[in-house]
Amino acid sequence: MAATATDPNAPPPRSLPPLLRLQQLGRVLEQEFLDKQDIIRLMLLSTLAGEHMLIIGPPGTAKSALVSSLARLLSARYFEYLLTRFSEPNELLGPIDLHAFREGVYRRRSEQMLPVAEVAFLDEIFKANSAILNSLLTLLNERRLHIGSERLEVPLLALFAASNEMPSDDSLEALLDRFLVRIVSKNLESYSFHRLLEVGLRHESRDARSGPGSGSGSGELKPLLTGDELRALQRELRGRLHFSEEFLSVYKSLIFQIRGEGISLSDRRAVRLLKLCAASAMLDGREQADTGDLTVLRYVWNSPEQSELLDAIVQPILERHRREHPLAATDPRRAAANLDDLLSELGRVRDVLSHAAELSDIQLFSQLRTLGGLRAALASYPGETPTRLLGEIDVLLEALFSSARF
Amino acid sequence: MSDAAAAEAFLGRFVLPLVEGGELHVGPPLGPAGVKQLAAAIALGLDGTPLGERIHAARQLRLAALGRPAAPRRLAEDQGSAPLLGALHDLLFLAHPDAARLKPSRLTALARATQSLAKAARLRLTDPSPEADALLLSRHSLLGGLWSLRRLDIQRNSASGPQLFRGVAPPRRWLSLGSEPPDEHIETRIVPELLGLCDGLGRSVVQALLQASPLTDLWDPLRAGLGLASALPFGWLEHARWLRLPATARLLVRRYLELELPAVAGALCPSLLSTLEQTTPGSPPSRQRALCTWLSLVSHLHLAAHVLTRCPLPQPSAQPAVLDLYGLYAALFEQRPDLAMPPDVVSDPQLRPQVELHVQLCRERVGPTRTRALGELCVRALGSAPA
Repeated sequence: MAATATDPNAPPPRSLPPLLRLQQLGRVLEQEFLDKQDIIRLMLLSTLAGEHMLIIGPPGTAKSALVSSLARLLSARYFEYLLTRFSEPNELLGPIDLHAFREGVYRRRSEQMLPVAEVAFLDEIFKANSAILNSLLTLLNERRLHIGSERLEVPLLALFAASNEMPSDDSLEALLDRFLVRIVSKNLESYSFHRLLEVGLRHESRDARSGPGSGSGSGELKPLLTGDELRALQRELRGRLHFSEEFLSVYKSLIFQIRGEGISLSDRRAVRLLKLCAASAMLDGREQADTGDLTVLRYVWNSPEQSELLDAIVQPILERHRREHPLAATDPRRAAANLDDLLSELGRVRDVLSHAAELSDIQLFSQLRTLGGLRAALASYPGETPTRLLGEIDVLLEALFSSARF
Repeated sequence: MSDAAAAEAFLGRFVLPLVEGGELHVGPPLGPAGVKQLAAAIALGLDGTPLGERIHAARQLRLAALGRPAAPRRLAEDQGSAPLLGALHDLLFLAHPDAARLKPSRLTALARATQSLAKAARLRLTDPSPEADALLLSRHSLLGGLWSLRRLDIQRNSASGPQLFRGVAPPRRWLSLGSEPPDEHIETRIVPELLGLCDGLGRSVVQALLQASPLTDLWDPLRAGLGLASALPFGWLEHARWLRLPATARLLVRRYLELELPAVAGALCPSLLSTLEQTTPGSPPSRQRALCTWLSLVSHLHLAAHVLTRCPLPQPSAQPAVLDLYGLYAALFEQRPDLAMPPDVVSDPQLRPQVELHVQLCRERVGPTRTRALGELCVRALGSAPA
């Protein structure tokens, strides 16, 4: 179990408009977490749109650290909890207030618990039992809790949930539907692995300096925005929910195509996804959503296996958009890779391929995959060095394919 | 018709569509005498005819489609090709409506002769070698279409009721008056029917054919979704030696990943576990060696599916046989790491943690008790038998 709360009193810098500080917040997170740009972008969009997001992935892929860091940067009240099959509502909503109960009043002591959290992270969400489910469904949908006869409004900005796998139980479908977007948090590609070790060690030493109870991996993060400022941005977004006919027509056809492929997408999600498109435009400083913002539809899968299918449906639209708007933001994942890292990783692959007398298939294909990843990452860089490195990769691949190993 | 002309006609109506696709025509059974004539005609240069070249090109294409763009052996270079083709042809004849007119004793005699032909095509090579690799591919380029063979039946509705014509067109005298519903065309996968021919003799012939072409046998452990896993188990243990050919193992790993590991697990795991249960340290070394080979392939499948391509694990509600394959890998990792990982993965600082994570997930998915039981099974069966 882990339940932590951040310091909400830290003053954020006021020199920049809130939207720019939200963008800056994204950049800080990208520096803190390697190769998580897609997840970070989606987290920002969900927070801005006031929607909830599900992260699927194996243990140790920074799911909870990402959310706790977001909360710290937002100077938001944060609540985190690992659910088990035996978790009780008390553990999320707070214990019954016994003093009040003796006087005949039924209420909970919710300080530092979910009802007062602005950003929440629930790990192993699909292990929630029916007692917790009922409260969660109302809370997620209406941001409201019923405690005894009292109806409590909750200040939740966004809730993030994590799980190692998607639910197989139909009774959890309603809960799953509350999470507008879903994303997989994977282990890092090998070319980022060395930097992972450096950054991971930096986090460890910083956490040690911050002392116990300081959260995971975010001891020195200074808040950039307050919860109230984010709420103001959310209000501003609601005023921007206007879409061009052309955009809506493409959106409609994609939704039908997605449903036609058997990927269920409720009407509620179909409507709310438009908010995410608008949030995407707003975060990039645009007034209105364009077809490039439809990238959020890549994350509406109900099982990770559907992700490829969604990519196949959405990617042509995104590619057309990129062709028509060549100056639009480039793929953040490729742009963020560090050239020095790529260079050192290429050296490592070259060493493995040239020095080992005999490689197993697993090793061989792993290095080939790394070379493919390096190639894709280098292709986004202008200049002589990346071009030279691309040439070196081609030579390496050619030598490999013409060798007796194949 | 001369022997050469008859052999060429056979190649045209049966062998070419078998390897190239299309309508395959079954004629009167060849029998041992017919196969002898076919072999003689092949030896005299049938490969060099335009038809022979076309068959060779179709076989080459078939191998290229598998990702092994090798030139198969010519028919004349493989003494088993004539009996193999003859046995398949005669087996299909046994399922032909014309065969139903024969006396049961004649049918049984034909089936026995067909079985002998199939056995005559068995592989003479016993050790994995480049020569064996080439022969396996060659045989598969001939027999690989077995699983997808279909017969087109026509059901004609007439005034006297519906009549089924199995694999043949309705005779002209069987007129349709035009007022009945149109003919129904029904496609039937032929392999299940072959297995039931002549009191199980058909099954023996199919098995002998698959022994003569191990790659065809290994290629489809799911038996093309025909539900034949129990009726026609694939000869996984006897073919283990061929998995020591790196190219064959690589080809099968790719194939099994295409079929998806959980599905392959369902077909493979029960036989694998039952053999492990029946194996003790006193069992013949060849049996232990075969088991070790298969367990290495299973490990390779895990690494390729979950470390290289990061496929999702099966749900906890998956069939026990499927989950067992995952538990088996976790058990192997603990008990026989030499079978679970190649040495260069053991020492790789990037790959090894990924393998460990996969093992941890497998263990969690299957549960510690089952994983421990599978580990004990491996230790009891294999001890420290060399990989």
